[in-house]
Amino acid sequence: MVPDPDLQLQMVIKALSETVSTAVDPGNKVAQEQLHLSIATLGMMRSRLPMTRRFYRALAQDALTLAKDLEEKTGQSGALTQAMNDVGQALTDPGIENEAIEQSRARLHEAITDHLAQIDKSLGTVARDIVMQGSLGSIERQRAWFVESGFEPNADRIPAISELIQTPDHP
Amino acid sequence: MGEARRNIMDQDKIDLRDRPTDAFIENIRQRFPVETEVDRMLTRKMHMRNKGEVYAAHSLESLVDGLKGLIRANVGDDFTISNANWLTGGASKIQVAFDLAWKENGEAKQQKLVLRMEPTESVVETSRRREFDVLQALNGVVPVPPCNWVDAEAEFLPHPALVYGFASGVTKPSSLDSKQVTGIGLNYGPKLRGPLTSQFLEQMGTFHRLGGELADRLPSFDKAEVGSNLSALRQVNWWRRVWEEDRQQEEPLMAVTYDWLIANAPPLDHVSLVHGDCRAGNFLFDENTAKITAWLDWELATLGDRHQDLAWSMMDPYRHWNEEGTAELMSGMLPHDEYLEAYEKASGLTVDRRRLDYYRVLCSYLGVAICLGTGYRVARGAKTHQDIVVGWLAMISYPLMQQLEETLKEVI
Repeated sequence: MVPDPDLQLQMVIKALSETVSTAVDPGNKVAQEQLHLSIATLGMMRSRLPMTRRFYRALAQDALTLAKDLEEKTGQSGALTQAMNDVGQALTDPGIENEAIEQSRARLHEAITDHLAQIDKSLGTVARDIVMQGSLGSIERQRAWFVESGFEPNADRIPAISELIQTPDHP
Repeated sequence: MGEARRNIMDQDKIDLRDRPTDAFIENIRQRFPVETEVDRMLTRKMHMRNKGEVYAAHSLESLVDGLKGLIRANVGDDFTISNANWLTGGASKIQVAFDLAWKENGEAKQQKLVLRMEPTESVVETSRRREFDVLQALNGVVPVPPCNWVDAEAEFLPHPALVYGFASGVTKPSSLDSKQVTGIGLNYGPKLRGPLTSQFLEQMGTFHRLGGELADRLPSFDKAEVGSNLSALRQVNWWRRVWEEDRQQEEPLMAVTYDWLIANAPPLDHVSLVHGDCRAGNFLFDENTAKITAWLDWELATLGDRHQDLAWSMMDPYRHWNEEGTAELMSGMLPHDEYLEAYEKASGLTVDRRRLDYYRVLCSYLGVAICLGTGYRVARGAKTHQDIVVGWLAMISYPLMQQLEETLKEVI
């Protein structure tokens, strides 16, 4: 396929960086800042695009693992089970769109929080610990995904995203 | 694509938060009670969102026309506006600097002013009336820009706005080559650090100490009472409500944190005026004299607990390592313990580590609500002049979530 998405992004970034940027009024700070962020955003997209599917799958798997742990230790609920089944199905469907994987994860997150609101108060601490522990994987993956934003004070300590989506759970 | 799968996707595309119904809006209002004026702002945001309005770029000329109406209503017809130009900085409001010459009681006056106007929606939805009140109340207490007029109900301008005096100074050293947004990772350098730190802590201490006295000059603020945790609960519910109104999807970590914050809200031990976004980068200073010339961005101000400002100013994104690499500097100023000791000395107020811990959790929570919740919703709806800045800022959500998880684990 010519031009493929990577080449398209490469061309746009080059045009903006080398030609358009020189034509933007240096005194127009708003335009300067937005152009800088536009080029940086496109660069980030270009580096992440090939890994998008594995990334979405990894996040969905994280949510599923958390939900399973929660269900095991705090009891079942119909809505949670249904949402877990939907994510499980999304992860086994080779033809499913990325957006649908992400939507199934969103529904599972909603089901988890509904479940948290409904469980017996005596299980609150257990549930909270599961959520805190179970959130770590997806937070780490999302930090790695967006590391190029420059918001990480110690970016060199963040593992490469390619390493974090290559576990046996995330083929 | 299978029919069932397409149906699921179509269902998910109808996002109630993009076009909220009256019932949805009212349900959230009832569940998460907040200050009266905050409630008014958030409810207005949701009703406007219901109408589906997106941001339309305003020409400088159209804003100057609106300005003329506002100024005419306050000083009469005898005035001239010149040198209007856009101002950058921050991710939130539209700002235009201009010169005004006018006559007041027969006396000729001239002033460099700034118009600060809301976009259709903002990364923080706040009240210009409150901002006006707080700038008026602080005049002569700590350096703030003089505030001239407010168009609280958008009678003259496309959206609510205020006009305040242009304050000279910079938010970061001009030699600092940082392209990061909103002052994150700001390093003042060894020469400026000392004098800025002492003024920062002394002035923060002043508005914290005087909260009770200032309260009477803040008509659009709900009062806070010593011995009650109502002001803390209102804060938690403010950001819980914002999260509920704006988020893309639920985050279980946010749910368990909210429960903990509600269950552990401490009673107030002293009424402070809380800045709400108190940190390096939110004040102007003169590079030659190293004097703070104006505290900025009071839109999140509230009457409440000083520990909230302290905790916010010590958040991870506002820290950096000293030149020797031996200590992290809070807001680029002092190492942790020294920072708190210097604050106590400058303010005459104590730092209660348990309260500070509580507000560390709250600050991480509200940071995620703003960046991951509102940042997403505003950019998705194309609601501002700075969608790309707001969208960029959303990426800080994950270091903030890490901080939230770690702080919660440490505190509970």
